[in-house]
Amino acid sequence: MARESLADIDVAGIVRGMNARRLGIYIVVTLFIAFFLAPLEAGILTAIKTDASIANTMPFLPPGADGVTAENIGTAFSQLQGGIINSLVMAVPATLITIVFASMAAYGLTMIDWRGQVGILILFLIGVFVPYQAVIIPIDKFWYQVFPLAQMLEPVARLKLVEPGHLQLVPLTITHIAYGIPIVTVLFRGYYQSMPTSYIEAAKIDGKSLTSIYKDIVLPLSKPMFGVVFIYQFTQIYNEFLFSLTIIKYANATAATMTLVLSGIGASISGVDYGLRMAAAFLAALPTLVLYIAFSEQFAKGLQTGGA
Amino acid sequence: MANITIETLTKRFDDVVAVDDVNVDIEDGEFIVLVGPSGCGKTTTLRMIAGLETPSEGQIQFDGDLMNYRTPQNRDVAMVFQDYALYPHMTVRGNMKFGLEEEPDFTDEERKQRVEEVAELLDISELLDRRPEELSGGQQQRVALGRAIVRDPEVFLMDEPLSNLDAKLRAQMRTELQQLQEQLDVTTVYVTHDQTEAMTMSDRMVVMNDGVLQQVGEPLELYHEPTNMFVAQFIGEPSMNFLDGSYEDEAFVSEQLAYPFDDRITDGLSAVSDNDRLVLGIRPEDIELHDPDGEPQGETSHENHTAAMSVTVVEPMGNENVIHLTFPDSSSGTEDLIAIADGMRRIDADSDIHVHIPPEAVHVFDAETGDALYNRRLEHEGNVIQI
Repeated sequence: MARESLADIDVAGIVRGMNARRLGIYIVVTLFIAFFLAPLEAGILTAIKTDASIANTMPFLPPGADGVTAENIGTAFSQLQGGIINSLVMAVPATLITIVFASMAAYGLTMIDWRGQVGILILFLIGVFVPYQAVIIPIDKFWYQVFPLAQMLEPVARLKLVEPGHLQLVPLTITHIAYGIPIVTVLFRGYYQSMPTSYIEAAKIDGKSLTSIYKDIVLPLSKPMFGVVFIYQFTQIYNEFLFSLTIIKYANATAATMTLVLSGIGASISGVDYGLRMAAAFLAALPTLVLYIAFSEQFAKGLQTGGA
Repeated sequence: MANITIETLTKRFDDVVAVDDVNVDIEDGEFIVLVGPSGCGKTTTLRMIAGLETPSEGQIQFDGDLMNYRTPQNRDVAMVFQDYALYPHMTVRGNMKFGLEEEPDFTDEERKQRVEEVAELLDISELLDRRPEELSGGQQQRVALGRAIVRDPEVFLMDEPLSNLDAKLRAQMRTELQQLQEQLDVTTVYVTHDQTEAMTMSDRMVVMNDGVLQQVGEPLELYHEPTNMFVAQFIGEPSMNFLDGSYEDEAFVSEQLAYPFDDRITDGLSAVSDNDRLVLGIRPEDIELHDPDGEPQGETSHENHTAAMSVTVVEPMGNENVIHLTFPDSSSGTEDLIAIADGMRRIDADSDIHVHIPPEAVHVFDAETGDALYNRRLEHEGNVIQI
């Protein structure tokens, strides 16, 4: 009986059925990939097209042999390079300082017991949820009227080390540090909570001070988390527009960051230069892409161990 | 090296009393084991000695110096953690040297030398340049020990250091640790839930339950003269058998068994009156099993302290057999006694057997309080003492 019923099963049918299902999955996956990649592909193609080619071909179709040009990328680069440099000069120190401070804060809030800890932690948590819009006007008032740091630093500019216009990057950097510390602290806190408490206890019993425990144990073990948080925070700051606009204000200012410059590129009264805009957008995105590729392994490792 | 005095030590976490009024004096160079089931407060006690927890009440003194508010950094103790707490980013050498860096009396050269010496002692010299993740569990355990030994502290604290090892390695490390402690002669407080570890390693052991100290004493003292039913069942494997019954006419009487006490026992039960509830305790290894149609002392009778029982389960261990026994008319259906028989002896499940409970091996407990009323006699250096 059993054998007969086994023989009755249509094996070929199952194989066919599986194939149809698989095929369906592949089709859906392919459609999704196309959906997500189409804007990117259209962007890249538009960036290398001549004006005529842009007008005559669909955005996602390749240009003809005579419709290819590197001119857009060249122009975009010359217009954007100052902005990218400004952004890097601002974002790299802002990110590093944020991470160092936040990791120290998280260490103090997670691994050491002290009175009033919970209150401070709540302040950090509130800090995470303060919306950008709510702080724009206070920031403007603070950096221009209450504490005009850029103006105060002008004597430094007389030493000819920097142009006076660049000084506005300093308040912008500080703003980003202040705004970034709460969320990064929370990320580090999650990571430190998963670290065995016996590491800290063993070090205490071995006679180590709290500073030494941070420096010798916690900091070296935070490496994967530093990778994750660096990518996250750098991308945030580098791509940020609202604070740049509030503090630096003009796309043609000396200190204008990448996002400010980008907002003005290829737009004029005579119309929008799509090729130039697309080329500029790609150049602007390159640093973050490079960062992702360089740190991808650490990023994945940090996400696994950190639970961030 | 230091002696440790613990007085009325109490630790409360909010409403939970983790450690309740514990008093122990630990002598210089002594190997003391805190043992009890999980949640009994043994680890909390150890952590208070280490300074990782602050006592709610009571005192901890090293050589008469009050330690309560001294940070762990200033107590000169070394601790081996259950998870070893080896720093993954340092080599074995780095791990061992880490604690030594805070010892002011060493030059850098001496520190290096000291690490080499201890590595030699623990036979881990060839592992010094590896990282913890490259080591086996047993090797990690040695490194953790080495990190403690290197510092030459006043007190060693060990929190279940062997519990992550497999059974064979654990038995080996037990002996090794014990020899090491003897050699170094450093006061050691060792926490475990494993009574075998406690019995085999300790000079004296401290049995705790629910935060309360049950008994302090040498291992054999606790084995033969437990102060209460908790200690009696906790020490020894398999656990002591307990039979519920009452005291009637100078005998222990239960549903299935009438067990007359001889003079030695009744002398000890002067505070007990008729119909008081009692618990009769007998260790599995003290129960004698006789063939029903064998020798004369195997006859079942009350005077003979022998009863007819049937075998329900036989667990062969090789060197011995663990025999589960039940009274023939037992209503419960579960086993009433566990006995140990020689491994060479053949005993079948479902057979009938005569069980002799020797009066010189029984313990009597108060059923209400669990306190021991009478313990078996133990020969102490020629003197017979009785608790």
